[in-house]
Amino acid sequence: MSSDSLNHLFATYRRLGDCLKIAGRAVDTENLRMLEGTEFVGQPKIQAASWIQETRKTVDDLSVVGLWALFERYVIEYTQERAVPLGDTEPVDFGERLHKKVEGEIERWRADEILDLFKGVIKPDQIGIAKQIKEYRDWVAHRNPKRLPSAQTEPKSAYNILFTIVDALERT
Amino acid sequence: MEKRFPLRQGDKVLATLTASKTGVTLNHDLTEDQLRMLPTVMPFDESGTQLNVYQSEGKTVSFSDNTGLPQLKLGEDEDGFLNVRDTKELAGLRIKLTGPGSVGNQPVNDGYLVLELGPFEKINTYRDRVGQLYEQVTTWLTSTSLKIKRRPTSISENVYGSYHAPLLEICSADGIKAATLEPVGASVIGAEGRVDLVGSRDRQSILYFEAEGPRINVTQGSGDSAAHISHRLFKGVTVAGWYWLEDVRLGRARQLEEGLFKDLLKGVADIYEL
Repeated sequence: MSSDSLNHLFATYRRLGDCLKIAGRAVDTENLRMLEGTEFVGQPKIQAASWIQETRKTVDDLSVVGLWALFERYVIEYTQERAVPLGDTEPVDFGERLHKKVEGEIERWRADEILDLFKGVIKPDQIGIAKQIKEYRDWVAHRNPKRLPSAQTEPKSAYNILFTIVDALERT
Repeated sequence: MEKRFPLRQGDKVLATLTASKTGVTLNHDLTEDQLRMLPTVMPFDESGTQLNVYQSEGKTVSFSDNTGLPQLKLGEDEDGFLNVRDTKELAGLRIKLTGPGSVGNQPVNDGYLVLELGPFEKINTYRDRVGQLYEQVTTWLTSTSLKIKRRPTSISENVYGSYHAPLLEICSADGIKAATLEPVGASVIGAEGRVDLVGSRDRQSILYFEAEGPRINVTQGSGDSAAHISHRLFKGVTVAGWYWLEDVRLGRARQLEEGLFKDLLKGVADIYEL
């Protein structure tokens, strides 16, 4: 994973938004050439427009989930790479086992804990916003009414902050 | 003797009301798209004097001159549509309160009445077609123990606002509701109206199509080799009537007939005697 994966997903999200814009125009103008073979045919326009809006909201939410998944994979792999020198610890057998243990454990670390490792490397406010994105991602994925996110997140701001962090880490 | 009342928006005459012994006719050259913009107009007499619109009790709307003398009286139905007949069976009129505070959600403080033109005749056409469907369904179910009840309901559509149309309840012999035919609207994409058959298990949409239904025109290629291809949106649509969309993605529709309706009814509600 690199910042390219984030760029690719965000570009796909933007293009999907454009497709929904075109669908909205086809509905507005009742362009049957465009709408043929879709479930929009036979719907009141207001219903069709509402479907497009709902789809847009779902695409927004799932894009945040996708962006977070790529980001999380990146920071896990980054942390695992930085743990490789543990394998050189003496004695050799101990060092190898220590490295394997830490490498395996990192996969199970909480995202908050991994992000806290980057304090001093990444600006604290950026780490704070990344944690809010994680909170929102958890809410989208689990819809737990007892764990409402502290802030709404939309794909553009999520992309901006996650890309900034990945870019900064790639430069280290 | 006929009397004409031009309906103007500014200097432009958008339509004319012609009052005769047989009723009031609405004449215009507006397209459906133009009517969907819901232009507001004011009535004038033949000498070019603007008339005022008044609403009186008893669902009557009158156009009066400055002395208060009514020049024309029109009946108003329960949905606020005026009793005029468009020979093209497309346009209709209703009154609308306008004035200070009429923009946005602000209440009208000091308003006056204007006329609103719109494709309102389509509502009457839709209601007639829904009525015919209900009569047909009633006939199809005569031989069963199911009971039919017609009830009033109202629909709200962007273009038309709120208006009344009946729904049809289909009940078991002991009076328990099994399914309902619910009017959805006169304005749906690709069809001329929709009614949904709704039961406790499922919902099916029934659409009205004109003969052959909508056509799609496509040009393939370019220049001399360009080919113009025209095909029907739905393969099964032949004559005007109510159809069930068997598969919207494959463009398949089937005309509603007794056997199909009973199958749909069984599918949406647990009715075993059909």
